Order: sequence, then structure tokens, then C-alpha cells
Amino acid sequence: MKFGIPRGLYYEPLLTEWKVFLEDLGHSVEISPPTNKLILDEGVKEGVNEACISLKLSIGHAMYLKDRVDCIFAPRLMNMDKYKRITLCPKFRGLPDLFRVFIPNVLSLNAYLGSFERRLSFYSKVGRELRVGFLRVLRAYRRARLASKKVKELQRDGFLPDEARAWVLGGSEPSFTLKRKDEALPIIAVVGYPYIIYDDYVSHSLLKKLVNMGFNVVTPEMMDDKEIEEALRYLWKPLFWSQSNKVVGAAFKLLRKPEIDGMIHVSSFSCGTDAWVGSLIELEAKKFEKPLMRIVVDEHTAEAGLVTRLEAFTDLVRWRKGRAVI
Amino acid sequence: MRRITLPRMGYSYIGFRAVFDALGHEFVEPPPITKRTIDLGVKYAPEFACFPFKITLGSLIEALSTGKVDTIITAGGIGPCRYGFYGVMYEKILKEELGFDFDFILLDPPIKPYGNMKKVWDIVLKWKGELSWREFILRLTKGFKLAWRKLKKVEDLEALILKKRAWVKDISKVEDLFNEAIRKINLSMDLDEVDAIYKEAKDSIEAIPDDRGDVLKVGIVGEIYTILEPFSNLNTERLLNERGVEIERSVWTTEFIEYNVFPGLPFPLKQMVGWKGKDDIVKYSKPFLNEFVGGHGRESVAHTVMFKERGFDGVVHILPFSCMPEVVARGILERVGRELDFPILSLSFDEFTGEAGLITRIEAFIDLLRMRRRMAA
Repeated sequence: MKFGIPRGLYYEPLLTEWKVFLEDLGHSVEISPPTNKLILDEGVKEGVNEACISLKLSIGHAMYLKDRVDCIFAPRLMNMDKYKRITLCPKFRGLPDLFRVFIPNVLSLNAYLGSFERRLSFYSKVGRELRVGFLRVLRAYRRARLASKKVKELQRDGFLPDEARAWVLGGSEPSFTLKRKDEALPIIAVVGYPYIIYDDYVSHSLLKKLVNMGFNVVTPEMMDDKEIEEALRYLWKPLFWSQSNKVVGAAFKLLRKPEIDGMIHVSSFSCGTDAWVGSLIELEAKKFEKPLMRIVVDEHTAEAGLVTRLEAFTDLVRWRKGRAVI
Repeated sequence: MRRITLPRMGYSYIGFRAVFDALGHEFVEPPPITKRTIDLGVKYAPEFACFPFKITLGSLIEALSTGKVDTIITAGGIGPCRYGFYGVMYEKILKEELGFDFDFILLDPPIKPYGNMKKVWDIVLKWKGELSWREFILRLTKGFKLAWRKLKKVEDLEALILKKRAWVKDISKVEDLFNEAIRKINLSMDLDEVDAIYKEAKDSIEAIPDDRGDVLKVGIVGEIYTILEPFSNLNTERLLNERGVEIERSVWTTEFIEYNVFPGLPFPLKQMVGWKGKDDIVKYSKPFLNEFVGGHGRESVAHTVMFKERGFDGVVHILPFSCMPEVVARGILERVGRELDFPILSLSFDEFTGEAGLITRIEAFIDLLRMRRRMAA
């Protein structure tokens, strides 16, 4: 059978794992291409009113795959944290049902992925659905995990997720990396959900722009998970969504590091979770007197306006660092 | 003795008042929501916070600035709806940003990692104060019983006027009777008296003769705060009633407590309050929405299907702008409407919603419903 996995939302970090897993079980897998104008237009046309751009995009990606594959593989992400009660944004939980509004053929199972046992039980359920034995599932699971771990390590070194995945799955070494080449350059932390900051179309290649402007960039994916978890202690009640906890934890940790010169929080318009995430980061940045810029993207965001804001912000960061080049 | 307040949500303050009175604390009734409340909330709340958060924050600021309040109490939660984090944000904004001084009590369920038994126990001890255990439990049960009865009766009356207002031309008479009854129930301290007031009000409202025909039947589904607090939805229900539409609400304060607090109670208490389970919601929301998405998202879908089966003319779906569970429900209601051939109107509210646009949409919807009736006949 030919499966399609749509990009968008939190499927982004899981693409490698699922692709390797399904291919190992003898199915072919098509991942929707990186976001482009057509996909965005489709998503905006069919997607839910008032939803964040990421949800609309997700629907656009699924619509792209609709006629190209036999079945859309869209597990319902329920948990990615060691605590079972830390879940994901309601939109992720409703995503398979939102796909079903337009697409009849959706394979969806509840995915609890927070610990080894939960992951294994999820994958064996997928295996049962595809009628393969447990041992084969185990083998496929091992391979999938290895590949996804490799991608994660590469991301920690500063490679972009798409290029890292292509490399692990047999491509050539990517040319672009966020790895620091010159330690003297000012460092800007870019925090936000991976499905926004790594999506070049939505964020207008923000990361690449910063690197080209002569900055070192840090993202939550380039940090140690332990560090992020530690930093969450400063919050006296964790948020309910693992993706937000990661962003808040990373931001809190980075704001406490003296070498970070500024922070950019990229969020999408009408993102529910970012209402809290954004203001938590804002309050914390005030405490540590770090420059913070919040960029809100949606389908109408224009590149020119973004560049102007970015230039103003980077000038400020450089000026504070004492090496203005204006 | 503490002077407690809570954000306003419809008539829920009547219940809270009964509980706190019984415990010997003073309950400061939150001032009614006005334009000023919303402006205050919008000013200090995060930009994308939900509309209910902005209103309740404004309501708390108003209450605190009178100087009559020293304690604020809020329920916490475990998500995935944003509501569970309101408490933390209230405290951060009111204490850190605005510098108010008050005692903040957050009732988090003892579920890891959000809360634990110790926190719950500390709160219980705080409330017990100087009272003996026996006295405390007696008072608490008495308070809860009275609160529950009052809330139930108020809601029954509300349900009654939501129907009755559609049938009479002069709705002010109905509303006067209703408001009078609410005032009396709020002040009453006795179970039987509450029943008597309710019965009297019900009889007199029902006695008003119907002078209007061709009344449509519409169900209301959606997010609880925006439905229950008339100021936040620009009194949509009244606007519908005035145009000859009978309404049935699907969400109520007591129902909210039954569904969200009762399942978490420990063993004997759960059986004592008569927990029934949520099977009907699960049954009716399939195959459209197969999982709990937080808030009333799943209920919105299930109740829409139920209203269809009961032969209603349509459904109005009320949500605050960018509410996470209801946005999911809204996407799915599109499919429900298409597959069941059922008119659904989604109305989202925030501080910029204007009344004129709302009325236009409502009237167009009503015209559509009347047309469908005529076509079917």
C-alpha cells in the first residue's frame, strides 16, 4: 500500500521515524513536499476559519496527498512526555478527524509516544492494523528509532530537519548548517515551534536570513533535552502541551545564559498555546533584560516587513554588543 | 473571615455565595460585566488570550480595585484547554504586573505533574480555619447542597425563559418575573424556600399567554463561558428569542461540574453524587470526532447530532475567537452539517464583535430556517 504522511504541526519531528518504519514493513511512503504557494492556498481555502496557519497548512499538505496515495497515515498525537497527563494542543488531537472532513481514507491510531512501553504499544497497534507480526514490528521499530535518533543528533549540530533526514536516508551531506563558525559573532536565539521556524515558506527563511546577516543562531532543537527539562522548574506549573513546554523551557534556559545576545519568538497568528507561551517569555525576558522580538506569522505576512523588523532588531543586538556597524 | 471573590460567569455566583456563606466567609459579588471590564481585561491580558480570560481578568481587576476583596479563588485544570492555566496567569498579571496584594487560592486536581495531594490538603486546612472537623464538614455539605439546589433551580428557570420569550410579544414581563425570582433565590438560605420561589416563578411565567406562532426551535452549543455570560455574546440568545426562535442550551454550570469535577472525586463521594458517565457524548460524537479535544469541543459535536435527531431546525455554535477546542469542533461541524443536512451557524466573539453584523447574520440564518420549514411542508 502507498501511504502519505502530511507535513505540518508536530508530524514534522516524527516524519523520519514513521517513514522508516512503514518502509521497513514493505509499504511505500510519500511525504508531502515542503510548503509552497499551492499547498498554502489549498489549506487556506479548505481549512478551518480562525485556525492557526499551521493547522491550515497541515490540511493543505493532506489535500496534496489525497489523490496521490492510497491512505493518509495520521496518528492522533496524544502524548510525547514522560508524564502521561502532559498532552498536545487540542488541534493535534482533533487533526485526524479534521482530515476526515475532506479525505475518506485516513489511518489513525491514538499515539502515546512518551516512553518506551507506550511507543512500543503504539507501533505494535500499527503493525496489527497492517497485519504484520510482532517481531517484524520490533525490527522495524528499532530501525526507525535509530534513524530518527540520528536525525535528532544532526539537528542538535545545527542541520535543518529536512536536509538531515535526506542525509540519514541516503543523500549527500547538506551544505547549510547553523553550527557556529565564528564564536565572536553575536548569538540570537530563535524559539518557536519546529513546524514554524523550520518551515522556510511560513517563516520566510528566518534562520537562513539571520545566518547570512552574520549571526550565530540557537534553536530549541539544538539544545539538550535535560537542560530544557531543568529550566521548566522556574514555572511552578508546567503547561499542558509538550511542544509548548519545550519552547518555554528552552527560552527560560537561554535567557539565563549570558552569551545569548537576543531572542526572537516566532509564533503563528491565533495560536492558542502561544498566548501563554509568549507572555511567559516576555515576563522572563524583562527580568533578564534581554532584547526580545515577537514575530507573528500568518498567510498574509509579507517578506519586506519582516526583513525591516529583523534589521532593526539585529542593529539593536549589535549595538548592545558594542560593535555597531551602522 | 475572608472576603472572597470569583470572576463572574452567568449566574454561577449564586452557587458560590451559598458555599462561602455556609463556611462563614464573606462573598463579594463580582460586579456585572460592562464595556469597561472588557477594556481593562484587553489592556492587561496577553494579546491572543481567549476572550473569557480577558473578561474574567477585567472582572478581577475591577473587584480588586474596590479594595473590598482579599482572596481570589480559581479552579485549575489539566488541559488540554487553555482554561487550566488561567490561574497561573491571573497571579502573574495581577501580582507581578499590577502589584495587587491578595491571597490567591488555586484548586488544582491532585494529578501529576500539575498538582499533588499535599497542595489539596493545604487548601482544605486553609478553609477549615478555626472550625472543628465535624462542624467544617457539616457546613460544607450544607453549603454545597444549598448551592446545588439553587443552581439547578436557576438553570431550570433560565431554560424556561429561553423557550417562553420566543412565544410572547412583550418579553419584558417574562424577564421581570425571572429577575425577581433570581434575586430572591440568591438571598434565600433554605432549601424549601428555594423550591417555593422556583415554583411560584415558574407558574407565573407559564401563565403568561402565548401570542405568537410559527416558532422555530434552535439548539445552542459551544464554549461554556461565552454561552453563559450574556454580555460576552452580545445577548445572542435574546436576539434569537425576540425573532421568534425557541432555544435549548446544551451547556450549563451544573452539567460542567458533573462532567469535570465528579469523575475526579474519590470512591464513595463519586457514588454519592450520582455520577452517570459520559457515554452519550462518546456515542453521538462518533464517527465525526473520536477523541476528547478539551473544553466542550466533543460535546459541541455530540449535542449537534442530538439536536438533529430530536428534530430541531438548526444549531447555533458560539465560541470565543481562537478557542482551541471549539476551532476543532467548528471544522468538524462543517462535516456534520454536510452529512446530516443540518444548518449550523458558527458565531465567534471577541472584543471587536459588533452588534449590527451579528444581527444581520442571525436574521439571515432565521430566514434560511423558515425557508427550509416551508420547503419541507
